[in-house]
Amino acid sequence: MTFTDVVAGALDVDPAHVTDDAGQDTLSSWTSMRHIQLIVSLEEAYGLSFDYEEIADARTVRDVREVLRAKGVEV
Amino acid sequence: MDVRLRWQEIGKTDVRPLVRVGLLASYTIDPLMPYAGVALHDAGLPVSFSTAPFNQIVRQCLDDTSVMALARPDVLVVAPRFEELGDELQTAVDAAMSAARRWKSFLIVVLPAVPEERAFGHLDDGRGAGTAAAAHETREAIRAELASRPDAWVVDAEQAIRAVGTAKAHHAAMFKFAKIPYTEAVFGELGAQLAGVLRAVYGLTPRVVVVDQDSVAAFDEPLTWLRESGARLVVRTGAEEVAALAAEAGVPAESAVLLRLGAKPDAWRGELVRSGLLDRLPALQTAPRRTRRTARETVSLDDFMAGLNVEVDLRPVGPESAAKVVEVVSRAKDFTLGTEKLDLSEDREVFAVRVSDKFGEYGISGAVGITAQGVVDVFSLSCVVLGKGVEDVVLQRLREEHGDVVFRHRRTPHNQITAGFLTDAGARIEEIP
Repeated sequence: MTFTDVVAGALDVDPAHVTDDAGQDTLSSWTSMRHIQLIVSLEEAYGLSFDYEEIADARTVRDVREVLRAKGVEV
Repeated sequence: MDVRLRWQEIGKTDVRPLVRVGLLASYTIDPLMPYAGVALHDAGLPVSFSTAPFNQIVRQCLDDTSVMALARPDVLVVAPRFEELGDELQTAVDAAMSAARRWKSFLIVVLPAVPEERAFGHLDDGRGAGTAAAAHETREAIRAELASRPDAWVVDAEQAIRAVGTAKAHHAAMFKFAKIPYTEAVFGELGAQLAGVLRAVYGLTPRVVVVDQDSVAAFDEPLTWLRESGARLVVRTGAEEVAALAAEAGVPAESAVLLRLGAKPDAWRGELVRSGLLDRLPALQTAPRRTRRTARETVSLDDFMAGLNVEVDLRPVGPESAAKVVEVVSRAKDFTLGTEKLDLSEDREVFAVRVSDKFGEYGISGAVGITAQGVVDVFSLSCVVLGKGVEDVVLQRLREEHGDVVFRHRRTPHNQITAGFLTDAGARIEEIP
């Protein structure tokens, strides 16, 4: 599964909507519970874990991508 | 991940739920839904779930106008933890039993796991005053009490954690962020337990296991387990439909299942347990009965609220509290006037709401802002302090200080309880798009 697939699946959006600028303010389906689903889906997909600040600060797809890159994941 | 995606897809179909399940927990229990929901859907028992804000078990159960009371669930699942409730845990279970009786719901209590933190360290296990002993005593008292009721059962968080392993059971960051204490693996185990109980309650426990002829030798040990559990085994020699074999055996189609096990023999026992194929009703009275030392009456809602000793402190926002207030406002989804971001440079008074109760200090848990014209356009509270009457105290203080203020409210997909609260309180509301 690609990064886009994981994000699209967790947020239940069309993969075309998974752009770097997409975020909690632009995707209506990115609710607080979907945010949690997104985090656990990414943790499962890449075998890593997010800390509190990373969970709280990841408000856009770009933010999420940067967190993963900082952990050594190429996305 | 597949289970969560499947649950999303099931939600988009027009399958009509046969059972309404209400979930109340001292923590955020929403991650349980996909695991129990998919398992029950696959067992021919489609369900819908309703939840209430976390850590409101007693209030939701005692208030017949609460979200859960209005939902009138067929099955009420109550999941308290010692970590949030401490000595009040039994009160929460009492309230749940009372609510289930009034609402005519089947009650399932998730027996709380023994806390990881032990009051006396390595010496905790040696005395009845230790955390472990006290927790076990409470757990067994609950189990015994529910065992005497025909309309109640338990599932066990301790068993779920044991299955996953303590080291993989907890998610500290997610607990801090959203009060979700467990990993998905634990919710998976709890979901399987819950599904197993509901299958039994609704008569859908598999009664016939179909085994392909060429699997019999390979599945020797699992077949022994199944025979010991009382399952009826039917060996399929050809490609007959499972439903047809069920009809031959004289059971409904959904009561027969084809045995499928993964490639790892070590995992077979767990797979069978999760599938429900080993489920059978224990004989009555096979376990020693325990009863409470003293009988108690269920506490009233008023008594419970008074006993919380909630203290609410409103102070003008200063440099030391500004960042936290902005964060609280941005994260509040359920109780908010629809304020997405708080700009402290705008011309309004903003107060930080600090809350404490008998369980401890919650720190800055909300904010309220009022313009010079007497319009309240910020009123946000964290979920963790909802259900404690904090909103009533803040509203009262606002009215004492500013008279009959107007609340500027914007509906969001999640803030219905705010509108409901303001309406019930007779507040003046200015709706904005």
